[in-house]
Amino acid sequence: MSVKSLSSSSLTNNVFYRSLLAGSDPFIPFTAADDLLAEVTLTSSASLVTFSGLGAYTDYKHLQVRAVLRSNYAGSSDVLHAYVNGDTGNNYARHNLTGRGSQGDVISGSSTSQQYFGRPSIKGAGGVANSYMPLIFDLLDFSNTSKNSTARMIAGDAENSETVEMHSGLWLNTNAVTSLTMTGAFGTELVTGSRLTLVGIR
Amino acid sequence: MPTPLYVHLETKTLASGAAAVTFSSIPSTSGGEPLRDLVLSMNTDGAGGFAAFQLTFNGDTGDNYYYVFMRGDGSSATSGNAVGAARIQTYGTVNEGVAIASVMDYSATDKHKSVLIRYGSDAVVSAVAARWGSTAAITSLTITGNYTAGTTFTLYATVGE
Repeated sequence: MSVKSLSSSSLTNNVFYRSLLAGSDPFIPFTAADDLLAEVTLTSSASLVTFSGLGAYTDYKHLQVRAVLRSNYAGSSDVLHAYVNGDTGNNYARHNLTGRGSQGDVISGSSTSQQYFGRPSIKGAGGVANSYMPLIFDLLDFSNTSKNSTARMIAGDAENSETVEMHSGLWLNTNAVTSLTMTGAFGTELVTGSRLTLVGIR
Repeated sequence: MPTPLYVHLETKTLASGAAAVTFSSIPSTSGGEPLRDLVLSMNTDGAGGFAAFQLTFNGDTGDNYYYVFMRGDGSSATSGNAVGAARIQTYGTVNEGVAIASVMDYSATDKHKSVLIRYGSDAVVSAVAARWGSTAAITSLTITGNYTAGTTFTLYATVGE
């Protein structure tokens, strides 16, 4: 094999890039492997939203729920409860990392023997009108029967409670997840306009 | 047949340095299907350090943005917020960074627009939650900073039902 030499005269672009990524093909983190599976937009209030029949989605490695949520809780901020397979026993563990905005600090916490994955904030009825709290919820290896299922979440509220939050959760059960339910912790209902999109990730 | 979630709207790779990049004429539908969330992926390269990046929508630079951030720089973790700011902003004077921003329900006309950002760089790791206090559908998005040639911005939208 002949050896090729590279000299500055063979370069057609003498721009100096600080980043090793610069000049390369654009970074495309998403592929056609992510599919829309289901979408729920509430046209009337509902006590909970359940995605069921998840056993039909075993072609996918992970599931994601992309949501904007608001409950009828009178305060400005409610908390999301998410559980799988109808299990609200003390079979979950969770960690959180929360930035508290004007308080200037970042706090962390953990709990075991819980009834739900995580406790990300969602908007309450006392919050600014027309405002819903965003949530991206990833449920990992949901159909694997040799692993406990884990979840990760990012959420936040740039209003009264001023939090940006990352949560992780663990369901201490190796059963395949066949349903995922989300509901408000303090409010009795998720209100009209709340939207949850279920995504399959290969 | 499953529906692919992401629609690639546009990729911009800077041929020369720029202080602002705008995606305009953002559609609200694709192939007859509604679009829900914007997802902006950024490989940024700053000229001599810059304040990470800033986002505004529809050319609105009024005090209509609200955000809260947390960041770690390797030695400490801090949080802060802004109420009624002229932009959404991440913090950290950095050279290189990668970010993904999700703008939820961007084409809805009955909701304020909520935003989640994850950002990492050679200097900080950060997360931001933000809100644009407007019910207008987003039709343009501007990223401001101080970016060198080669910086790449890619905009996607997610499909709804």
